[in-house]
Amino acid sequence: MISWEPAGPDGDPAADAAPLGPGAAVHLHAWGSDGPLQGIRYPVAITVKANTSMVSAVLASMGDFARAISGLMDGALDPCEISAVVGYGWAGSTLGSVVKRWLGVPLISSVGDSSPAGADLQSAAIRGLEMRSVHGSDLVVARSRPALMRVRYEHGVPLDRTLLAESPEEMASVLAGYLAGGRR
Amino acid sequence: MRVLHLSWEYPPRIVGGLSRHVYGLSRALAAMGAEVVVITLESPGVPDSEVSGNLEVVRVRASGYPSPDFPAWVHQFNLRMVEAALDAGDFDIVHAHDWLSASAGIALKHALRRPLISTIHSTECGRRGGIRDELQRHIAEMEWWLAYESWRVIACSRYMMRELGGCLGVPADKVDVIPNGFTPLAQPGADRASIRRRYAADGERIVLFVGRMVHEKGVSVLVDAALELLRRRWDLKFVLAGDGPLRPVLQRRVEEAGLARKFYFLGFVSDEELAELYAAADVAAFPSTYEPFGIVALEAMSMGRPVVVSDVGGFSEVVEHGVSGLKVPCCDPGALASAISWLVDHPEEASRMGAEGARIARERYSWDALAGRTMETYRRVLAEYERSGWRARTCARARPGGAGPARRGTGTL
Repeated sequence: MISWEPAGPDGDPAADAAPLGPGAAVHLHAWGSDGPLQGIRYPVAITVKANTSMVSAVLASMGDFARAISGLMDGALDPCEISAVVGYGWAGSTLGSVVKRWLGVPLISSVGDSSPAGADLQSAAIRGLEMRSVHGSDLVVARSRPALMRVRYEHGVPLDRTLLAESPEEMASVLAGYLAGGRR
Repeated sequence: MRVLHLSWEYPPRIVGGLSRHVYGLSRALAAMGAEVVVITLESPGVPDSEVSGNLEVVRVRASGYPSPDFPAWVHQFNLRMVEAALDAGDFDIVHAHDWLSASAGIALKHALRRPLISTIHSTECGRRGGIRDELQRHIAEMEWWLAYESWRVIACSRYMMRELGGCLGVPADKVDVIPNGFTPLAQPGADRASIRRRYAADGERIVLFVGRMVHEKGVSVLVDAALELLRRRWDLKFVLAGDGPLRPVLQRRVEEAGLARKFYFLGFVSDEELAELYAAADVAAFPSTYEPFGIVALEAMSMGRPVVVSDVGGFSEVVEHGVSGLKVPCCDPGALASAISWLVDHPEEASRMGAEGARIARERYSWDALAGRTMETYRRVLAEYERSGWRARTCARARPGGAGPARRGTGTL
């Protein structure tokens, strides 16, 4: 599980993971310093502090997340046991899309209401990144009806790859089903 | 040995000297037997992928996504570089050029657990004379991070090695100094006399400047020196090739001095035109205030032209005073005017310096020689890597529909 913040409008990875049972998930999120792994949470140190926009902040952190995941695979995370990567919001999904390509695992995107609707370039850039990452996802889970509408009818993701899960319990059920080999 | 080069420019996309550098180096490395993949930005009318012998060039999209600022655009194309590199398989070495490919280089280092080597061609702190705003701070932090994550850092001159230490805190023993090389320009088709007549009357001497028209290239110093020279001698023409924000300012200045007919501001010129200009020039002047290396001096030397350069940065190391050209103190129009005048008045000495410069350029700065030194750095790093035990843990089990590594680096030193 990858998110920029520990939890937010795009979902709460800890709450989603709780019903899956202990040890079923590792949640990486941006922080000021690396780990240690506490429960499922693994804070990732973000090296570059001076940023001109959220877009550059998130994308510049690719190396930080790669370092953290690569390091975790030395110990707590057996690469053969990674079944999927779950990206939360545009930031988590964008970073997750790199992990999908790297490890060859499915990407599940969880999107809520963090995508900005403004006409400024930063909002447009974020919507572009979100569109690209949800199209590259094996499954897109919307956390709200407006998010589902956005994913389906603005980004144009095919209906059979989108789902609505408005609570952590629903999301956990989706994840459990997906990981068990079913679709939903 | 399979080597990945990450560069935001590669011919025909030419923004600065980086494009020619990566072009010359990648071709020479491939000719030496390395399998080289260059991932760069798209260029209109050029295929997304080209293979020539051991060299593959992959171009990723540079356009089609909005960006609130320059770094956001840079990191977006870095994301595409990472995707393209992961699709291209594994590498023995990841070689990133400048902060513009830092985020991709660092991510690939950790994903593949392969050694990252960086060439830092200049630094933001050096280019700007300090760090003053958030944009510059972001770039400087990316440069620091790239240097920090690199197994070894390549600098193009001892001057740049000191700058990496001063601006980014890079220890000197982490740096290999390998000069830039140059790709010889083709000899012009037209004869020298006919090219000269485009710019100068018989008896007039041509002083050539090539470079971006920005403060750090010292083009204002050259115009100051030219105006001073033209007050005491009338047999000079100044031909300035290159574009930039100072061009209209300087054009206005020479017009106001009533000397516009003594200057040609040509803007950006092709390689063919550049070869003609070098062939026609009597003196090539490069009075930069900041110059990590100074490839233009090498180009002029290779064409047998005597050069006058400011005694800064890489110029200080490339040009031997009185042997291949003259060095003058930085930012001193009077000294520059005197040096130009001396070369014009001593054609035999100028010709001797031109010939010696051509020999030095050929012998010391050919891409074959410099690719050989780069290979030495690669081999050293790979030998250290082999002993390190630092390896990627991957899942050997095949993943259905997975996009994991398709092929491995050769592991051959």
